[in-house]
Amino acid sequence: MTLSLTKPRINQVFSNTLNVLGINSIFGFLSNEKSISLEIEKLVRRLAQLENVESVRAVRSKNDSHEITFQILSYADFDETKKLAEKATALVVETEWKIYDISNEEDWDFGTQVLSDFGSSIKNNQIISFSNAQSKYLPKAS
Amino acid sequence: MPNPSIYQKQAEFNEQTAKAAQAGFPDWAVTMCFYAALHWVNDYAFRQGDIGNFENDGDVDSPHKRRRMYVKKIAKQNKWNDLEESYELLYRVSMTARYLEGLEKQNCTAREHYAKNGVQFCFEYLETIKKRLI
Repeated sequence: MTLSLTKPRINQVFSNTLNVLGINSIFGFLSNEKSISLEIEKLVRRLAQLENVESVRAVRSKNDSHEITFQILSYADFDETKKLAEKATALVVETEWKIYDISNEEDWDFGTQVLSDFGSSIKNNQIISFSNAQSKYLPKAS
Repeated sequence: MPNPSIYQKQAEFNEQTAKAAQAGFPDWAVTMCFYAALHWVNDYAFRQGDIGNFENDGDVDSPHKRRRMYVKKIAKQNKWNDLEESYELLYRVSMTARYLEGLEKQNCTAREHYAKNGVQFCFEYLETIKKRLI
């Protein structure tokens, strides 16, 4: 499933821009969106590699596709969770800034949450990337 | 030297309250550290002539969201990644202190949680924020 990270108003600007600049603009725009998706997937993988991480998911807000929370499932104790939150937040900020530069838009709002339970309030279409880090600890199938 | 703004004074009051609450009311210490940070952001925005950005003018974004986006903007402009990180970390722990985010399954109140684990780290996040904004 491919989910668009483009806001409606950006679509409008995009359409208007296409009319002015012609078809070549499509390639630059799509290339940007692909780069953004790849950066988000890369971040999810990097977060999943951190110590004490069970799994990671990137969840976008229902109202704003540029508001994305990186939820990290961990069963570590308080001190380890605090260290994990600090490392994860640094990685999330790093990627957020990279995406500002790629998209040339400053309205990206990335957040970081370390949880002991993902809960059930998130709808599937809000999850734009998922990594089950726990699988790396499982024995290979014989 | 100009008089301190109301935001600076409130930030200092909130930090004093956080220190006073540390021993018996650690959940409120966490919350007041966050609200001290929030007013240091307001004070910075006031000095930059940007405080009007946070007013509730019927925009879809809440003043909290606009302040958060402002922190991101000034952090990126000045390459203050530690500012954005500390504000985010303090915001998240304040969500636990205020709304028990992450504690429901543990059947634990925020007061019990922070009494057991300590809150000194919140003052460290606040210090990082102050170093950038004062």
